[in-house]
Amino acid sequence: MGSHEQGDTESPSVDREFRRHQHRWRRRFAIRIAAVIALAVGVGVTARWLGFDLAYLYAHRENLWSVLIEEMVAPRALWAQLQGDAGLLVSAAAETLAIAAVGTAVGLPAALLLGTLAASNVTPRPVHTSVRLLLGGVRAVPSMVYALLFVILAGLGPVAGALAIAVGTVGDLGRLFADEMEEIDERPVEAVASTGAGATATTAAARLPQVTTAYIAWTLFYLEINARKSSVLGIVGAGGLGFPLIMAFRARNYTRVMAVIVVVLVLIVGVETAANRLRGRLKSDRRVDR
Amino acid sequence: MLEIESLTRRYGDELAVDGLSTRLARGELTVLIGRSGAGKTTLLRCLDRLESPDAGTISVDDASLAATDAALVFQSGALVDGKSALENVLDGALDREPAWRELVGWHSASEKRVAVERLHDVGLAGYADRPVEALSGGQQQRVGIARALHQRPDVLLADEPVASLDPETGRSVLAVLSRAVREHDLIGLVSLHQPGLATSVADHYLGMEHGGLVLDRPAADVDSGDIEEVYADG
Repeated sequence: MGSHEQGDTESPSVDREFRRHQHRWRRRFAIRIAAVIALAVGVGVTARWLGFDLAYLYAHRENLWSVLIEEMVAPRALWAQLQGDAGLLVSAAAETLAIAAVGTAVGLPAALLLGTLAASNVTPRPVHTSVRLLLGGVRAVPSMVYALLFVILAGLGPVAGALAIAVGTVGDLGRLFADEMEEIDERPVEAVASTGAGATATTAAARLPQVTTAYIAWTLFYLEINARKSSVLGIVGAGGLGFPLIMAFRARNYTRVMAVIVVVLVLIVGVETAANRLRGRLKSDRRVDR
Repeated sequence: MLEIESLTRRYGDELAVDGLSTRLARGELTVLIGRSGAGKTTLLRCLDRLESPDAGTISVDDASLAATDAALVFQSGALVDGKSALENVLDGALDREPAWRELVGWHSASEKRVAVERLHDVGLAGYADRPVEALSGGQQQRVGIARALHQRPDVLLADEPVASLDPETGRSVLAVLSRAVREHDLIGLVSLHQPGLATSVADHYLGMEHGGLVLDRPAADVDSGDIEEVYADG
């Protein structure tokens, strides 16, 4: 091999830059290591404050273990439980799915409108900052709390759950829509606006077509998340699988708890598979169009 | 000496490179010309071992060509954003450095010293710690060349390295390539769409058409008519 194998040429300017780099790099590396140590110490101190005590957890491992092995992962008892509760579990699963679907559908239009208004490249500053603030406020309240509020309005049952899901969808999906909108290519927008089109027409003609596919993908993803959320809203009396779940826990019937968990698992995996199929079809459709 | 013997590469029924044979000397920059679809990129990718030929042999100094023997400079830099110029050059040594060094960002001092030298070689003194996304197109392409050199190759390949640069910047990038080939005694092969930029640096010309060679001559024996013929309908 030639002379380029090692740094064998004597060059003061190379040496100078190399030394400068090494100096900077050492400092950066030291700062990084200090940050990692500080983070580890911080986590340790916080965990201690929470009362984390691994020795205690280890000493009481039998409690969880006996419930897990003897009552939850007991195939025969679990199968009998699933068969016995089949009617109730299937109808609760259907209710969960319906809460997720209705909630997503009700929240979607508002998410679309507010998400578009919250994009800094679509509306003037006073509008998009205040809409973003509104979306942030909506997001700050957990779905469980919305469910408790809507139980007051709509009474115990799935309607309260669907409303809680809808509000959560507006907050989360609106934010995702706004962020997605801010990533679009501005050149076609400028081209369309240069024809004299108004703000709404420009958005419809040049902005929305750029985000349609992403919006549909996000909505499907949100349907998945909402199915997961609505399977626990029943804990506060807002319908779905959460109700049999909390009742089984209260009765200390852990086989039944496991039966509900299995149904939740099947439901969530089912929704995810269906959503993935739809997304896949969406992508292949786009390819054909091109 | 790089020897290519009956090199063939098919895509389905289409022959991208069709039984091509030639020899390229050390210390010389060969300019590869031809219309789009003539097989230039496929030839370069076969030489860099990014693709395996269906038939034929490639050897350097009578030994079969390995992936680490050849380094390719890509069309628009193909640098990793978020890393500095020096870190991008160090990527050229990834085949001889353990992976944990790249994971924790702890490269050996001797590799870094050489990488700084490679940046000086391509005219980027003082740029080691700059993030590459802040560099101009011509500077990014120079970092790409430094990375290729840091691989310690025998063969330096470049696939239309100046296609997205203005003519003046393109000329200076080609000059950097030609100097690197001479100083490190490499076998240089550069595909170009603007052969006019290469007249001052080309030692040899290869012209491709339909996967075969239609021109294979030292630069001294090539005039503008010969080059035009390669691009003419035929």
